[in-house]
Amino acid sequence: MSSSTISGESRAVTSGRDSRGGRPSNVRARLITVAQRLGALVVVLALWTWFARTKGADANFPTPPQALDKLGELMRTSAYWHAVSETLLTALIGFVIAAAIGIPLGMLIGMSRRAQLSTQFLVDFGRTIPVIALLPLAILVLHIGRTMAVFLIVFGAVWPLLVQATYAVAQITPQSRQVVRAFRISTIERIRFVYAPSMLPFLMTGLRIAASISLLIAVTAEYLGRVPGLGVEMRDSGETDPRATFVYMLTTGALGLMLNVGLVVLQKRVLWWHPSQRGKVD
Amino acid sequence: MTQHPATPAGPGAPLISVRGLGHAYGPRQIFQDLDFSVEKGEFVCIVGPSGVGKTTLLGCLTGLQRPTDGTVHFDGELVKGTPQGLAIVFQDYSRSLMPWLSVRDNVALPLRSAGVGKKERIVRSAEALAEVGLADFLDSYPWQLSGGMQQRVAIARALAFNPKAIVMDEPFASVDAQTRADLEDLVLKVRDELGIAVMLVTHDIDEAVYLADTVLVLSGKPATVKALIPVDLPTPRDQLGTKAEPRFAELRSEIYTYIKKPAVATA
Repeated sequence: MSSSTISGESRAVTSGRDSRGGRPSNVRARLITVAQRLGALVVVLALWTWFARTKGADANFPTPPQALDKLGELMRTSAYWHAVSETLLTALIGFVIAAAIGIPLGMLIGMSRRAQLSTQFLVDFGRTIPVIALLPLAILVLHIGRTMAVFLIVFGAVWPLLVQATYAVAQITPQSRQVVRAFRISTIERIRFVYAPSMLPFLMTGLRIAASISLLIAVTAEYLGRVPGLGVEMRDSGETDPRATFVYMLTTGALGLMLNVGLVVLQKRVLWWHPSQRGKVD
Repeated sequence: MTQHPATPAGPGAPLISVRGLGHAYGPRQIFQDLDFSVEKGEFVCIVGPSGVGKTTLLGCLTGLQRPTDGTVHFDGELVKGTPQGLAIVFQDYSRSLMPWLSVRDNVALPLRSAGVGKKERIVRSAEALAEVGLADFLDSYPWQLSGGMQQRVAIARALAFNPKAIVMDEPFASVDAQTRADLEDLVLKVRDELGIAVMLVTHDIDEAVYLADTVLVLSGKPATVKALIPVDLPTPRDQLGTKAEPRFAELRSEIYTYIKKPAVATA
């Protein structure tokens, strides 16, 4: 939370965080983690090189240096960056629409036990339908293009948001409802200082899952439905330039990774008070 | 405290007056025909076997629950929602405080809703926290504090209102014995300094006798007021001295006999 203090006093919000980090034992633990990750990376690179030199050689599969060369080459073309931005834009539009539908709807459902029970089956049914199964239908109705891809993303990403928003509302305890009533806390302040922060951990989880799904489906829809973006580049380069295909694959992976890291950082910033973020169970 | 209160308004009238109060969950009558009143500054402990309806009674007294029969008047006004001059300390401090708000902000939140200005919120929350001995923890977060300290924050939140009465529902049930004794003395000190009436529900008869001016024994199915026992122990109370008094033991066993079944003194 920002420095919106209730007492009205301006203060550093960092005081809540000083129990974490900065201690020597933490530094040591962090160094070990870094070393372990580097080790894993070396093993993967070794296996990759070995594969590219043996079995992969026939398919023109690049070794790590060759892949890097190709990446450098592609990064100097505008086509590469165009593909990246197309994919990100498609994913973003789908993600935003999914959030705009899933979160309010989930919150509505979460307000009533009866609504939860009666929609449970529908939600479970909807979330188990593989999005790819909808592709033929989507192409038929919406034709090839961004709209079709966005539709698929919304269909895939709306579920975790809906489910998490339902939990977020349903977990507000009778106890905290009693507290706000007993202290006559006004409606706006109830939402701002009590309900919204308590829902945030659940919503953040939903947003993280939905963001990964959005990117995944964007690339899949591009690949299978020939929608402009990384997916279609992957597909088109497959026969002519396998090294480029591989670079596009790596790019997709890197985007997913960056997205996740970004959301984890955001989560730490907004949920610093939560037991999961302070690294301690109370 | 009297069994049959006079009219609830006017000077010298009791702060809380309960008349013909009854509550039923469907066909199950929890308590009925409760008549008692609480004077300004009086310390009343409500004891009774578990499941007797103590918490439901508090719900009706605080306006969080609508009674099915009878009325509660607070300061001359019929209680519908929680009255302005009444503050509540809940049993479960870990869930009644907000972990994302600093200790000071937890205390200040109700003041903000009450329309108290910025400067006064700072002053009043700091004063209330000083009153409970937490002047050095304004910017800490509840989860950085021990259970006893968290309950102090909850008490400070109640005090910041300048209430005429505080209602506490088994406030010390989940802290260790030493902390419990400290908190008991804290509540007595606060009552003496600020002249606030306190209604405290407990299942611990020793605690009730130690704290109260009057002990209200609730028992039976449906429950009624079995006895109103004035505690004529010297004040200020003292954890060692008071509990060693012969009169303390007498009062305690008197209350036990009203509750009848000796096995009921567990939560």
